[in-house]
Amino acid sequence: MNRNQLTGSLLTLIGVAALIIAKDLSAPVIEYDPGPRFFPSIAAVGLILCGIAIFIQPQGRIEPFLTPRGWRRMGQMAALLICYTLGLLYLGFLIATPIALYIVIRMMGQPKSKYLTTIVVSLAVTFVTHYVFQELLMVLLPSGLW
Amino acid sequence: MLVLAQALQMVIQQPFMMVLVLMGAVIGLVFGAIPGLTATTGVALALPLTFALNPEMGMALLIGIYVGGISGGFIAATLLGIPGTPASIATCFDAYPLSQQGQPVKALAIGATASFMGTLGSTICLVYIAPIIANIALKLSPFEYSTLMFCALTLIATLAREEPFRGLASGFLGILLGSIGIAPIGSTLRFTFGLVPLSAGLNLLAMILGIFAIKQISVDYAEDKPIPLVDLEVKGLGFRLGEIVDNAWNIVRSFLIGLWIGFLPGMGAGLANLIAYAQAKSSSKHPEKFGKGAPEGIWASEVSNNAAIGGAMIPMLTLGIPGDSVTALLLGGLMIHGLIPGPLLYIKQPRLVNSIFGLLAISAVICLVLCYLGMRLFPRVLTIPRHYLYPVLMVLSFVGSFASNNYSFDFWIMLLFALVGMLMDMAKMPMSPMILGFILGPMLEENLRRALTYSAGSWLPFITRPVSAVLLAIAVFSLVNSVIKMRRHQALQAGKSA
Repeated sequence: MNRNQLTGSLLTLIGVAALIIAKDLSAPVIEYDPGPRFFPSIAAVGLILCGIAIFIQPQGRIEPFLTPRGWRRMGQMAALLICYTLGLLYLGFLIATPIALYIVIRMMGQPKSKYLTTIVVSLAVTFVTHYVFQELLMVLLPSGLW
Repeated sequence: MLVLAQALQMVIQQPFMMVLVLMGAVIGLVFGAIPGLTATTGVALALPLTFALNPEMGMALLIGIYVGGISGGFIAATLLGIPGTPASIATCFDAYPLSQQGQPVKALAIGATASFMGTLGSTICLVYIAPIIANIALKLSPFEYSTLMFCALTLIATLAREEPFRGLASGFLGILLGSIGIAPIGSTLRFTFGLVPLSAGLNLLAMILGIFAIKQISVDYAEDKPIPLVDLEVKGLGFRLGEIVDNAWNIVRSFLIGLWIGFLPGMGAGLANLIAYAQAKSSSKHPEKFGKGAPEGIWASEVSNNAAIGGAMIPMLTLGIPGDSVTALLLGGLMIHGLIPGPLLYIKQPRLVNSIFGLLAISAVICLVLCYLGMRLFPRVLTIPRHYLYPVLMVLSFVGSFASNNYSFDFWIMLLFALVGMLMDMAKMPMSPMILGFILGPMLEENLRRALTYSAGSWLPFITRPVSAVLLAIAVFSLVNSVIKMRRHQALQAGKSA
């Protein structure tokens, strides 16, 4: 399956799923109102038609999106982002952020970033952000489960 | 110009008012430049501070923040590729590539000048033609609103000219995403899959932070490309003066789009910049340069989003109807002091109305001066090593996505849309039609359903009502024009490859 076929199939699948879900939405309560299923159904049909058109389009020459090394690095980044999100939810901003910052600075900066500088930057960014948002701007930050 | 001159004089003669508007503009620029913080957040936070001030002084602070907040969005959009606010989404498309080509100063200078033109021009319109525009708008019904939305939606065809099916699919995807949450009129829950946080729909800010910030950071880290060299020299205005002349029609058109969209309730700078950008691309002799650092795109986006400021102030002052979320807060600020905006405000409080005019113009000048003063400083952000800059941006994106709703669920929305953005890049699907569809879809649906309910299910009034018919004709013309240009583009490409 080439990239056009893959894109087309995925879009058609999303369109079909949206159409099925939209069919089960409640009927309109006001007379002459086309109801809540009308608009998403039009968009879903449009998506299906575009998906089919993309599927049958001839595939030109394409460059790979990332190299194998690039995909490995993308995987690392994705894992870090998910762990940071979980960290924010369970540990809170003040604990999760310096840890995440330390890891991501080391990950991105090797071999240029030094241990001590990384620790200082991680702590400084965390506390400055916390002070500016939570204390000065009164914008709440995740506090974790504590 | 006498009214505006008197208004300016009134503000300049009060040093404390000048200090407040300067303070507001600085706060606004910072809020606009930080991803996740918007002019609305800034005005909301400053609102309690105005309780102790008289209405004129309170307005000085709030208007400074409003103008600064909308203007400042282009700084992050230009330097980091992250729209500081939804008003600067389209600025990213060309200002960031131009900045990446080593010309951040030029991109910033265009952004600052265009923002100034938009705010000042719309203030002049507010002073002189506000009642006329307000009268026209009172005559608009859901039929006209629907056709106007439809007209704007046909711009997707323009944004998707290079890859029509992919662009249209992106637009339809945006409309589907926009229909998540409580449906208009009947309040039915759609596509929420039992998740309560989805009831209010997807958070636009979390979406754009995912698509523009987190995706960009992840892809740049994965690609491990070297940092581009940056030209930090500021010569004169930062761009050729002739560029203003070259873009004269683009500036006027974007200004009118911004003014009109800003004026319509419920819309605002967030939509104006996308529509003006699409129109600029549609009318350009070189649409293929859009998205690759075309200055025309920056002019269009920044003039229109700032023109929406004056536009949004028109219904607020003349009718007491807010044009966007910030003017809703400004309205609240006036009402707290016992002032009811509307036609009577002009008669009962002429001094306050005049000072609002003057404050808008002064804020525009202050923002321009501040942006030019910072022109040497801002691009230095790009010289910060990526292993320090990107982690800080990552943290700010998480804070920004959480700050708008205080929902931790928005973290997952942001991450999901970083993935969606990456998949769309892989599939060569343009992002702008999806954002346009997401913003316009719910508005079109609400007005269309309301219109059909009014007309007892008949579609005929869309053609028989003059304004609606004209708008429909424009939409059809726009579609046909896009198809013709699309064919020409394809023929040109086929000729090149042969």
